[in-house]
Amino acid sequence: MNIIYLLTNFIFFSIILIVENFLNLIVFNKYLSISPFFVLLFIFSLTRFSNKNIFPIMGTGLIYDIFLSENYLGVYTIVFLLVSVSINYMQEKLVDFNFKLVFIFGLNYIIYNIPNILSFNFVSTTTLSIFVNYLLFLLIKRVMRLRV
Amino acid sequence: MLEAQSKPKRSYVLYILFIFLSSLLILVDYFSNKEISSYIPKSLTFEFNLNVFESTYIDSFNSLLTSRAELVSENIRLEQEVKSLRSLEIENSSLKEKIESFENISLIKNFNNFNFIETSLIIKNSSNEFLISGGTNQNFQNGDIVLDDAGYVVGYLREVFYSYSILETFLSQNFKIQLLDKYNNEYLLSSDGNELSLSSINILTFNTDIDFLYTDISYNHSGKFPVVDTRSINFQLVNNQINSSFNFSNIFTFNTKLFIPKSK
Repeated sequence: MNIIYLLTNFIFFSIILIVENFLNLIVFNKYLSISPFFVLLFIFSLTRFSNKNIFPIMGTGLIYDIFLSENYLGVYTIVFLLVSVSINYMQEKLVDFNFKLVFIFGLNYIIYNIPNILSFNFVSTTTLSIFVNYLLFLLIKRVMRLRV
Repeated sequence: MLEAQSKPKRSYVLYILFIFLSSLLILVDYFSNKEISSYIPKSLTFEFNLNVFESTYIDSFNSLLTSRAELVSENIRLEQEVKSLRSLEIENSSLKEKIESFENISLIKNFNNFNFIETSLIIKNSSNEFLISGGTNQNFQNGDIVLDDAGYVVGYLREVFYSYSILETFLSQNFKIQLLDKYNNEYLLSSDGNELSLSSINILTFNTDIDFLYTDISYNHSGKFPVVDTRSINFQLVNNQINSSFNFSNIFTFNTKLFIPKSK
């Protein structure tokens, strides 16, 4: 049962990651990046954080490093695992304030994009993308009736 | 109470261990010169070989059913095909004349020396690099230039795998390409992801009527293909150096047809 759960999650994560890259090809905007995989990671880290998610996340990171980028093997694996831990840790440890969820979302989106931090238009791209992806998160949250 | 507090910490330990494991992977991949990360994409093919029935079986089956009436209708059809082929021949010769006239105004003097292999975009990754179809299976090599349907260079291949390649374009901050003008002055064109910057490497004779900067075989490119139309940008010679920055406006879209010229 565990293996089926891991495999299903791994396939689901991988499909969403490929969809993310394909969406960005269609949108074709250098100031906007739609990241459904990050939103998925955010939801999983807030609602279903467990050690069971390590293998699907790590597998997806390896898929990204091997097939979809020219980075060294393991770069995006670290990024995805780090984002997952960081989201859950902040949600658990930070004191409650009005925009806590937005703050966690924004900060972790920056961590998610660390490999591109040297990009010239990083600030403008990230700001717009955080806004759009947060709207996407709110939409999914409402549709799935999540309590986060 | 204590158990509830210590639960997240224990969860994080395994995550942190796997982060260290991944950093070990980076080290191994770094010292193996990306041999590990490129092993699978270089050997894996995404092409599917479908078993098709041999046409001879179908032909022999059809021959049993062929009647005289069918032969007559076949004859009529063939006559019509011959007529259409004749009209196509006339069209072909007029197109050949057109190509010759284009060659007279183009930088490429003989298109017949090139095979233009059509390729298409697959996805765009978070580093603004594009994955395009075709790799070593179509004889693509690192550094091959990629043209849009207007004939302008849009980028070059940074990494080539078996059935796909990574395309570096003006959108990528790692983009760098050496160019020539018609007076054989040498330039370096680079991008920071937002702007293109042009700097001269070697100026022999400077004139304002440069018009185009193009690729050249002296930089292992397959031929003279235009990259920058200098008529739309301002640059001046100062201390025998040219430095200019400009925005790229005519970038391709996801449905632009892309071609890779390979000399025959």
